[in-house]
Amino acid sequence: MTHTHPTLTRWRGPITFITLLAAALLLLPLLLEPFRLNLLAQYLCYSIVALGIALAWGRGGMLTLGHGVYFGLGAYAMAMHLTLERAAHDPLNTTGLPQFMQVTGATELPLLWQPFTSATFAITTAVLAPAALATLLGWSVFRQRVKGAYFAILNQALAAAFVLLLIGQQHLTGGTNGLTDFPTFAGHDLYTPTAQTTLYTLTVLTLATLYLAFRHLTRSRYGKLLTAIRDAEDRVRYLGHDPTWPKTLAYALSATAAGIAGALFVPIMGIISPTLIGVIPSIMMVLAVAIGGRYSLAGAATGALLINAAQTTFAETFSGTWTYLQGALFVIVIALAPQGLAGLTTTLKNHLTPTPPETTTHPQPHKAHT
Amino acid sequence: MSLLTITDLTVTFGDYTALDHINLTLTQGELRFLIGPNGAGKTTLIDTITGRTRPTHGHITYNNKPIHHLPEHRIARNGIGRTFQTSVVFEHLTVADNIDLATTHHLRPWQLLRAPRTLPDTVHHILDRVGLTPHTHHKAATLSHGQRQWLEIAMLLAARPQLLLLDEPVAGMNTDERTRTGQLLTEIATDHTIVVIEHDMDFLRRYARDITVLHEGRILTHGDLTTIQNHPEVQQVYLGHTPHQEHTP
Amino acid sequence: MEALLTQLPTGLAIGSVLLLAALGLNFTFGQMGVINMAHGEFIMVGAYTAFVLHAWIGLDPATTLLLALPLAFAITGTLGWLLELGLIRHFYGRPLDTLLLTFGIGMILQQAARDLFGAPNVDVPTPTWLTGGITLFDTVRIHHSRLFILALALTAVAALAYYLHRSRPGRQMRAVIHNRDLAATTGINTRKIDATTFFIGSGLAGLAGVALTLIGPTGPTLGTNYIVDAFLVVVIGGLGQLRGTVIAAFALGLLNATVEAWADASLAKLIVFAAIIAFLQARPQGLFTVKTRSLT
Repeated sequence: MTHTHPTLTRWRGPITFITLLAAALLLLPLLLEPFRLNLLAQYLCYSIVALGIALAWGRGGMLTLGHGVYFGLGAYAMAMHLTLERAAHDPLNTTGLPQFMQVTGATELPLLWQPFTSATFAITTAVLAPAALATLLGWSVFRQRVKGAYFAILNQALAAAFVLLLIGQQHLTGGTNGLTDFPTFAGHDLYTPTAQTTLYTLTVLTLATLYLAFRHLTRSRYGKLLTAIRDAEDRVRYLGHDPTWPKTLAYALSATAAGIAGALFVPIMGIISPTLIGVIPSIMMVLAVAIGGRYSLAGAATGALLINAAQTTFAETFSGTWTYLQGALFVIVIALAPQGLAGLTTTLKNHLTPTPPETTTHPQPHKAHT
Repeated sequence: MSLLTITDLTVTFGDYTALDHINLTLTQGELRFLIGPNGAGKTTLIDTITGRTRPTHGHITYNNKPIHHLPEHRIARNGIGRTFQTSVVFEHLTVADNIDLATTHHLRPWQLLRAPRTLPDTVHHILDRVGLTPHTHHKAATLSHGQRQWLEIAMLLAARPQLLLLDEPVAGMNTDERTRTGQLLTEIATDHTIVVIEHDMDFLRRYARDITVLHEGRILTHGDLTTIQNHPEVQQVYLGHTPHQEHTP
Repeated sequence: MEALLTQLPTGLAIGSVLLLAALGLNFTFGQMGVINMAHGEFIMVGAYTAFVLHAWIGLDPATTLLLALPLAFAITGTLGWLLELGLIRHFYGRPLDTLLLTFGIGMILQQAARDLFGAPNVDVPTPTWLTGGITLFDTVRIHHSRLFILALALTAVAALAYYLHRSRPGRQMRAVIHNRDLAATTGINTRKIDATTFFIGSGLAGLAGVALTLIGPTGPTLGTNYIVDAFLVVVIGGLGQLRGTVIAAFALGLLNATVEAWADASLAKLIVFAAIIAFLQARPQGLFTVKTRSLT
């Protein structure tokens, strides 16, 4: 097989990728009704988050239990702009202030909100704010060799604090209700099927681009350095490498992906609120990656798609059972299939078509990081 | 000229003194063996030179510059490389990638972001030198114990250090592997300064010219094998009580 | 200064609860490197133990409290022991995986509580002898119930200290914390020590749960509210360090209380978080560390 058709093997990856991309872009918008397409776009936003988590956690060994924060930063930046656009175009709104602010008795737009009238500023912030926060946090803890479980806990603490802040600063953030109802973006009606298809297409393209970019990264020398740091951080130092910047970069890129996903999510979903980005949603983002396969970018993205589809299907009708199932999934996947679905498919493929030994070895659960 | 100078070095862990006012000078091109019973402070000495452990007192200069306050990776970049008692290689990377990683510390971050299509010649050359060419594209996890030790040495060489610190390089190796490692060591010694911690007496007899004996954190004596073996204190603390055991591989 | 003084009782109360919650965590984390995310749910189980004694069995508040403390310790201790036996011991050396595993267990326990007791909060009445309070300097009022929790936390610390330093299994436990492999070679049964550690550590969570019923309502998510802060106590205090945990718990309690009084409550957590990151710049390994040769 492999040596009889070397060309076929080399092109199998790109062919699969292009086929999937073409199907997603050309076929699905025709087959799915707008409502389903919108749901799919939502799930794909979580796939983008999953790519980032797979990079930081799977490759870099940094368990990020607070990615909801970065997703939230991107989402709120976008939502603030959309809220302002709605207020500006609402003929009944004479103050130009968002509705929730009028309720709390504000008379003029808070300083924090003012620059968000510009779409460019909002989008730039959605990308840069997560990157900046992650760089700051990552650099300050990684350089002090805080890692493993400690780092995971700090992430979770950040998520808890961030949500409290959003709820508490109601006059700025809309509190528990969050920000919702965004009819237009740049004057275009967001509720039309065309707009929904455009948003979906944009999400697919973003996912594909980030996938290719991260895939390149993991195959570069940098990616190998990251894997080496994951497996034996101390050893890397004696080869003259400082682990701080590679780790910070992976973490920041992963946060950026989450921020971009959040910004896309808002016009698609039509709402962002603290319940979507707190401690539990953050850990669900990690569960999705664990299920799909933390060592595989494609696996992680697929896992996020599946778990979110399952969530919509089960959560409303069998909410209790679904929680049990999620808890059980954590235990089952981590205990029995630490490489997730991606690991299972590789095993299956190797069973059907034996390959040379060097391609069959894939990462074992990595060593302790404490 | 002296490459590494250790002055009045003391390292304590709580109440325990691991190194006690050590003074040691290494000259360029030297091949120095470090022996001593368990707990003598051999590994602590290497740990302190490479920045893994900080001195409680005293200082270390390398090429006439103090290095004991530098982080590990800076010391490594200055040209000091080391191996570990239990070899640590990157199991999920190929043998070639393990070595390649050791050559790239001087690259800027953006230069690392490129994926090289072919292996650099230096990597091929080093693979050849340690005899791991047949395993170039195998995952390091598939290597035998001896091969892993060689891979560690290969990674060291790839980083182009001036000073190599090897912590028990032949531990757990069979006779053939020991001989190959010994030859490799002699070969490397021609253009490197090397410190080797080793217990194995056969190995010492064949390859050691300069031996420093550590005991309870202090330097007991220094000299060639005969001098060491005839030194009364050494006989007492190190060889004296169980001379036969030292001969068994 | 006066503002600080008025916050003192609140800070001490938060600190005591954090201490009770973190003691067990630090115990299991320090010895086994295991982050038990279900620890928060064990706290919740402890609180519901008191609720069941009062509302289902019909005991009066005082008997409930006195009976709930040992019973909750036994129940959550057994839960922890089972968790270690059934799952955690198979995942040594994989702390991040254990963290996620135990989170899954926590989710299941939380949902079970929702199914058993309902999602809304329930109350366990405080015994009458704990309802009053004492007033200091005219302005500072300390509730008896909070003094009780403080006393409970300090008693737990004293008992643990005694156990660790005076008893044989406790000393073996410290040996394992210090150097697991070395302890094993001296003939200590580390498996047994691990199981005991988990029993005691989880049992302490049960005590924390009962204590919490004295200062607030009980609900399925009770544990989640405290667990993050309890983990931060462990991060600040340093691994396997009793005195570090005590100091960190009260420091974090007081910091929380004063920042909340001075700034907005919603900002407080973020400020405390920033303070912790700043603290880690100075002491990345926490307040106290055991200095050893082996770093791995």
